[in-house]
Amino acid sequence: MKRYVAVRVIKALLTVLFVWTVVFILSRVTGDPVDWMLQSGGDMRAREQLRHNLGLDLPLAQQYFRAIAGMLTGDAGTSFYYARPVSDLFAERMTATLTLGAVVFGVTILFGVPLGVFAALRHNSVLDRLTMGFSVAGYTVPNFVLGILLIFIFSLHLKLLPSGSVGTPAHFVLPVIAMSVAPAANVARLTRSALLDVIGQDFLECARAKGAKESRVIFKHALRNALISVVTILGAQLGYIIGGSVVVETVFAWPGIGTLIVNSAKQRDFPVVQFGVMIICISVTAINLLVDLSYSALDPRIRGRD
Amino acid sequence: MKQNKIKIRRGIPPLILFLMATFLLIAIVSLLAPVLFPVDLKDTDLMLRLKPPKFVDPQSPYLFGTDSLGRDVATRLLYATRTSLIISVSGMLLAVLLGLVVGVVSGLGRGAVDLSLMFVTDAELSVPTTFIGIVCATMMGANALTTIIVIGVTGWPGFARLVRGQVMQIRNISFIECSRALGASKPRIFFEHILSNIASPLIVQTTVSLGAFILLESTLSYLGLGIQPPETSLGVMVSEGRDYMLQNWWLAIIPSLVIVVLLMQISLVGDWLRDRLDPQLKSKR
Amino acid sequence: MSDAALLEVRDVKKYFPIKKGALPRRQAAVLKAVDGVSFAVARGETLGIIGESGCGKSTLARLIMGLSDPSGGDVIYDGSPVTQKMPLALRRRIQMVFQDPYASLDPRMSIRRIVEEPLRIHERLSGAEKTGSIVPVLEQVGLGPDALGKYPHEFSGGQRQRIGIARALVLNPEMLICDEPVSALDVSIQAQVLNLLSHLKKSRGLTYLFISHDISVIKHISDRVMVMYLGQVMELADKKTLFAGAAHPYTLALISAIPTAHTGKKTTRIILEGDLPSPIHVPPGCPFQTRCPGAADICGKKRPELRELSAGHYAACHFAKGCERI
Repeated sequence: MKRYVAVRVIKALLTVLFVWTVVFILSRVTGDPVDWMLQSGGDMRAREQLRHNLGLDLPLAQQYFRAIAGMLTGDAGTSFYYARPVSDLFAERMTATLTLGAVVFGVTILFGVPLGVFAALRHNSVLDRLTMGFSVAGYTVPNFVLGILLIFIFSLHLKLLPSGSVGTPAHFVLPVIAMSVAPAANVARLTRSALLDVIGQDFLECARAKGAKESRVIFKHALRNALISVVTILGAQLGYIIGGSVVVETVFAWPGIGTLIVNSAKQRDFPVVQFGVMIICISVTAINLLVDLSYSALDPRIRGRD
Repeated sequence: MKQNKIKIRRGIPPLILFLMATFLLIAIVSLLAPVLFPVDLKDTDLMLRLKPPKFVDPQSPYLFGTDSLGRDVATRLLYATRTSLIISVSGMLLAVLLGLVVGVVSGLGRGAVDLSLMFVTDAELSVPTTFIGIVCATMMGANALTTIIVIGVTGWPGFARLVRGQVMQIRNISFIECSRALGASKPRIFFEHILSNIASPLIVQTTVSLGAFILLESTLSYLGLGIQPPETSLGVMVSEGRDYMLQNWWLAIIPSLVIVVLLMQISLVGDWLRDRLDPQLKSKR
Repeated sequence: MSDAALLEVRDVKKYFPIKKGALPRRQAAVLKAVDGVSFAVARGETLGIIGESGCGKSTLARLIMGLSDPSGGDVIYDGSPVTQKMPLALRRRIQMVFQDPYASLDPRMSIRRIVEEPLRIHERLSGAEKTGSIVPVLEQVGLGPDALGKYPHEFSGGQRQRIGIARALVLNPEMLICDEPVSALDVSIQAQVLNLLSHLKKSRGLTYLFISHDISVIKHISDRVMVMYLGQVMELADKKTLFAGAAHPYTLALISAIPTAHTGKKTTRIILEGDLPSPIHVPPGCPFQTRCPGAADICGKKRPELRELSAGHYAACHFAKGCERI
């Protein structure tokens, strides 16, 4: 078990390092940042000065390690566009993004899991069909399209809810819906099939044969066994939610890091994008690591193994 | 009874047939748009801006009205669909090609290639595809080529894993040994035996992922990180129409619906293909 | 061994390293699949190779087909070395019939494409010429030209094996390596396929290397028989000598397992204790000592050489002359 944890942690660290390296190489291979910053050209001396200030005149290896050291100490450079420290820009917007993400994740669990469970218990019923239909909608309606439809119906026509920005709880409603439909549909579909797999297995028949009440069979035996898969499914959705947040934040002008990253990408403000991608990569990797570890803690077959 | 069963297996259900036919129709008409409706996308006419569509004003000469720069929306819609399809399909071909090469090499070779493939795939999964698109757009500039590369780069690991698994399954089957014993070269074995035996799951995967690629392309272009105006794609049209939603809601809603329709066609046909060609994958989704 | 040998195998070894652990992988053990095997096959004869599964028969077949290269020793075919890179002109002279008729035919190919495959690789022929060369071969194995357009799943196991044989014959090879060609078939079909092979051998003057784990099949088809155990040769003799006066206790045990029709005669069946040891842990000395009813001290210390007991009769046992006592 210790060995398992160690191997996972090392793999996660390697993953982050690998992504960082790729991003670093990409940023240096694809062009000269000075060209992007001085669109008009600028004279040679100004260019050299800028180059020196950015540390771009150092050997590549040195730049690479300086950048890593900077990331670790929270000094991620200065934004070209906003002309402010990148870490400040992120610190200001982190709360908005995290609040939104947390609410969306809660809604995903609250709707996705019960829907999947009921669909599996009433296999082939109307509810089951509806759930499957909902899950098709989940992966065929892009979140930005859903966001626009919601704005069109609830803000512009019915004038019930605000179409953007933050302030009141009402501001959360539309972005949360736009962001959670797809992951909730995924969770419902996958929970359903995980539970159907378990329900088909012999040990449930055995529990029934012992005379256990049906509700006990479902809650004590079936759900507990399906739980392991559900944890994995939920973990995978977190990555999905983070990915979706960029788009939905843009649609609803949510002042979070998603909007910041997209705007910076348009300005080719690469210190911001670089830092943003690393934050995303680290969070997703950390989530995957936690899912892996909780998976092993929940599943006695893995727990006992070394 | 038995005959009935065979009929179900062989025939194509009417719904699927309808979806396939409409998809092909959309694809062909939009691909032929420059021939059927030759216009210059840069041409604007501010006198004709924001004219209503036929379903609002039956007298209007424009089927879907005109946009904020006075361009015919219906024509632009065809060009946009065309661009979205061309970019997604090119990206898909790149992804399939990369995936095939890496998958076959690691499936036949094992060892170091295999380990690195698994590592790179895991690493890619730790960055949501949208972010890979954002990084590439920042570094390489937002344009059609970047989007194609993004699709290829995010798409190939899925194909590589699939191909690798399939190749590992069949590489020790004796008809491959037999070809080797006959002195067949590696390319010959690949084209004659391996490719035909992994074709079914590959077709299923290709279809299903085409939907994901169209989604990625429209998302990037919606964010302004894909193709740039005056060129247009479905995401660009949604994004342009967004600002006029209060009065001219159709400008954003019509291209949105086209995206949904395309994705739905592809995903339903893909699911059907999966059940049909690849029964063992049936329950996985 | 004789100069007229078509195929000669000289002290061939094939070792597989067993690796353990993630990076760095260290070599934990060596699997000796084939360990110092020598024999020769004369033109026109059938050499049967018998042994339990895992004794290295199939690895040996792969070496002879040039599908893998030996770790030591040589395989010589008609004076030329057999390797993975041998020229096509040499390769086409040896063909192989595979064990599993379900796996050895590509399910996506029609019978025409399957049987034509050797021609596509070795010759440049027009479509009509190819059809002209494969139809007679298909007829020889008992299939009509209507089979050409069909696919493997439309045939039974026995018919599939006939298709596999036809594919092996289209290039007019001199030698066929048959690796358990009937073990996947029903007993009733086995005889048909064996008879077909015997018939083809006569009509085409073929040389066979016939591998099986079934002593009855080997007895039926072979001229000479080689007994293998854990990658080594235990006994080698012509069929009559072997079945009348086997010298090695392992051979005796195999022969005693043949069911006999005449029940009046009392035969004692020798039942071997225990399982085949793993080829990774071959004991020093005689490989058979762990299961041999007559094992003595020397068997655990010294590996018995393959000795010639009488003309053409070889055995690897310290007690080969005195094994009557078993």
